[in-house]
Amino acid sequence: MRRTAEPDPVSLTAGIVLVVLGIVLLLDRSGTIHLDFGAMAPIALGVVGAILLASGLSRARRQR
Amino acid sequence: MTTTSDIPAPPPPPDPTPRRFERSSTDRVIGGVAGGLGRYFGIDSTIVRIGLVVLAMLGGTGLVVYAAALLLVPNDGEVPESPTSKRDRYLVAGVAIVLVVVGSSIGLFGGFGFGSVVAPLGFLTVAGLAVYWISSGRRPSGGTAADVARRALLGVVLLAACAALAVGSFIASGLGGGTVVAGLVIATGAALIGAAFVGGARWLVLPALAIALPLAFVSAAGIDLDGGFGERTERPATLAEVHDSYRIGAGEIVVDLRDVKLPAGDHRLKVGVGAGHALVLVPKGVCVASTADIGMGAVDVLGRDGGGVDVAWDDSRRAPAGTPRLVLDGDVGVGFLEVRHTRTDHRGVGFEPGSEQERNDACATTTASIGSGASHG
Repeated sequence: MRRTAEPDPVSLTAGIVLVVLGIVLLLDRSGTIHLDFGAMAPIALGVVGAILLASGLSRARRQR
Repeated sequence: MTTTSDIPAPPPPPDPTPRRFERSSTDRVIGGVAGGLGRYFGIDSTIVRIGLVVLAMLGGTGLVVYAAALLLVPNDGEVPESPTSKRDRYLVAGVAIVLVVVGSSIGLFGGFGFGSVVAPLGFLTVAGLAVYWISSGRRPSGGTAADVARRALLGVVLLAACAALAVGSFIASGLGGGTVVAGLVIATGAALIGAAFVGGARWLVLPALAIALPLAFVSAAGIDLDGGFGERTERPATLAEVHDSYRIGAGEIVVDLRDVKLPAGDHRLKVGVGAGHALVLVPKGVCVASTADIGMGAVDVLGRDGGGVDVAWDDSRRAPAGTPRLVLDGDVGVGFLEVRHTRTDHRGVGFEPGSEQERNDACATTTASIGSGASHG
């Protein structure tokens, strides 16, 4: 694959938030932390929101 | 003699370009669809908006129409589509047949008929185009009709793959494979980070979310699908046949203790359901003290009920001397835990007319509390 000068912001943001979410879920599954809806709902919405924000900003930048 | 001022002005030449339906960039609330329709038909766009809202409430047709126009109709000033070639027409026809077959197979659940085919087909096509837009970051409306059909099909395929991944992730997580699924989420995230430096892999975002979000739901609700699926009724006849715990993964479990002669004293019982309905039937004259953890759902113990998310139910009760007490510990991921004296046909939706009010009369005192959600009774 071709290496680009600037990383794709959507893939980068999505990758970072998914790694963080995966680690949080792994800690929950291993019993280190206990997640309920009160904690998980903001995290999940934050993940989706971050990806949408990166996508929107990227599109706006491309149009400029 | 006539002068030039007396000659009537010639009629204006006809507009050579045909009238075109375009989304309005000046008269828009969301995407300019109603503004464009109003301009096309020469009517007030507010009337179009009211019509679309009415159609949206009548079976959701307005939503499908609006979404399709939002995805397919260009903004005013954009380049129109080129004429469709014969090959493209065949391609569109092929894609339409595939979508009709898939859409009608979904519609079979609601019965045969025009509406049962067209409505799922419409939703499916619009959903496919939306998925294409989200995953590629490119608007699906440009190019020929065949291009649009190809994008819709690609979106539908990706949507179906994501749905399969989500179901697989939910079941695997619920059956104890959450650690593996979480590892998969981390690996997918790492792959996305790596791909970001070599052009990106946006198409991977939706499948990654389809894996991650069901696991997040299972974790938050505490869903444990161990114990099998379906409907199960346990009806012990004697105290010796009563198990310490009963559990079902998904479905309904009924523990009928009405034939058991419970002696005075405490009898502990655990009942668990990953997703579904758990019903415990107890004989009259037995005091029921209960605690339960419910991720999302409701609990009803002999007329006292509560529900919501992250429910920590505690209905501690003391039995008078000589009265048996059932100490129930419930664990429900998503669903309904119920304790009753009499069985009705309802499944957590409502009570049959005429069914008597259930009461925990055999107990002496009550100290009910609930950690989240609402409690009544």
